[in-house]
Amino acid sequence: MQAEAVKATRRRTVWNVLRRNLSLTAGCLILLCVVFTALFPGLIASQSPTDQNLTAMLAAPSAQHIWGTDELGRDIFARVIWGTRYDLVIGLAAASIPFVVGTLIGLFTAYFGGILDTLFMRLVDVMMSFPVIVLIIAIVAVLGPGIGNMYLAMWLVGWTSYARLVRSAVMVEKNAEYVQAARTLGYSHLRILFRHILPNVISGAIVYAVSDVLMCMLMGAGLSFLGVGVQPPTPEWGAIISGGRSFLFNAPWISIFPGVFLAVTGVGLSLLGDGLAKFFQVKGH
Amino acid sequence: MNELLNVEHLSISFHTYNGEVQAVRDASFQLGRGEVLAVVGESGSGKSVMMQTILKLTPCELKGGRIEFDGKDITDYTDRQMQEIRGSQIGIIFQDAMTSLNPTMKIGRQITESLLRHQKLTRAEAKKKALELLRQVGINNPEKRFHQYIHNLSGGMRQRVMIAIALACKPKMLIADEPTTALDVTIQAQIMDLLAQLRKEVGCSIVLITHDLGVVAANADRIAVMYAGRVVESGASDQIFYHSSHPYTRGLLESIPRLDAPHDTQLTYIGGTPPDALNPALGCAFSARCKYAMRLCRTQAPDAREIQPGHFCSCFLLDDAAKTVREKTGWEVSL
Repeated sequence: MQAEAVKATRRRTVWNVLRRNLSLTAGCLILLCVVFTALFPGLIASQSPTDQNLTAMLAAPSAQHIWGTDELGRDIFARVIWGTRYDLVIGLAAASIPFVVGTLIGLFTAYFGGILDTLFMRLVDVMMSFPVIVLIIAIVAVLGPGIGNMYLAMWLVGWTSYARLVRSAVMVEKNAEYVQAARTLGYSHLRILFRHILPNVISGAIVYAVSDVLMCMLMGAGLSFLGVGVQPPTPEWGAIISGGRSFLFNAPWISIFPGVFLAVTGVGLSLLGDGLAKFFQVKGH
Repeated sequence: MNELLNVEHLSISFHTYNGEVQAVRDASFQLGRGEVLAVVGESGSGKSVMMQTILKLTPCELKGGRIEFDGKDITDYTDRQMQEIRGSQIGIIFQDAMTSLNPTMKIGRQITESLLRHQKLTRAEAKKKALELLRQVGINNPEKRFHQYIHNLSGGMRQRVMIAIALACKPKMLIADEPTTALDVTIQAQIMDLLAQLRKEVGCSIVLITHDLGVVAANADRIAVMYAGRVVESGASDQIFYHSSHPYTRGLLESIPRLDAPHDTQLTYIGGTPPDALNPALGCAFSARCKYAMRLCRTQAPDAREIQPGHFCSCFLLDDAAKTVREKTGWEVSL
């Protein structure tokens, strides 16, 4: 009986949060559609994204190819739909490792302080003094083009923002009375860090991570556009837009549709980020 | 040996950008088993710092002294060694439960965490014990409260949760750091009654840190009065309230408003301000504010002397040499 009451309360709470926080709701809805597309592209697009049809090169949108075809006769609709998977994976993979690594570095350096903190923060200062895109392109140029090296470059650069963000929050929280109380109860430093401090500082990093997924997607698309990211024939939005550059006047659909999809996903992630920021503010963190 | 805690000549300092702050200077006191010791003093007197140093919670330097707990010398214990004592043998209650409890953790989990850490119980056993503790500290509907966060509770309820966490592992000693400051008077009384009741049930000793002499009068067996990092007077509750011998202690007692005083009676107060901890005075720390101060007081710090069994006071007015000063000022040594 009590368990049912708790479940009902939870349902009510979730509904109340979504009802009051429209940007969170809208962001979730858009991203649900994007995630569904990424998970089940075959259900939406019946054609192959890589099959070439040289008899239907640069075909305008029609019943057979609803978003037209590219210079090799590949279906743009299929390429954009299948590209969702690649772009979402790029965004998530490129943001998740820095999120974890940066958060851990920020946690430990702020909590324990000392020489380690000084060294890491000076390293962060040095890395942040370079423009991110220039640094990533430089790393990819050294390592060579390809999706693996693109990830590596993004990971090497991305952790700094999280480290600084989490560090500043931990510097405040580690002096909080509840942390002092946890120490008086004889808890180890690791327990205090992960059970007590982390849940109270993670909200800022989560909000930033949502916008960082978008940044990484755009960065991935940008690098693919420049030819140093995802290599053909992979149906990635940036690469598709780049491929359509030469045909902007006679076949604009090649670049427009992946661009629209990228923009819609971006809006969804931005709304989700705003909604989460509002949600965490209401909760008091 | 009946002492649970024995602190001898404790001196604590902090290093700041402005210099060395002498937070506690040559402080000594004892806490007997099952006893309530009240540590009284104004803000900045070093009472909280002293207790936190006993638990090794402050980044301070121990300049000297010895801390003995339950027959063991814990002065040089490492943080790892102290982790075994904190929570399981020494509990602490902070003054503001709203900031002392984790806002992102459910109440039940905060209690069970302590039990799981120190008593090696299963989750089910820990939950059962936590619910029992919540009942014990007077929280109604503990099953519901178990799943709530601290913002769902009132101030008094939060303080009860804090007490439940502190007493979860049945510690031998409980440090109550101004446990009623953030509460209104009726709730204060309830919390103090609860502590007294739990002390009988659990059988722990309590160190009550406060600046409220009203709370002290009703609850303490013994009192240590602190001023500017020194224990200026200590003794049994009756000795301090009825036979106080230090000018500072008397000043504190005289400044309590009385209901039986005539309505035109002016409130007495201790003039001046406490000394700067960065540049402590050579002599007695209270000499600048003391109306009975002699030349000697400004150049030399008095040692604690036993006036009656268990009643110690650090004041030159107790010396035979100060007889003329006592006569001139009307000061009486209260025995």
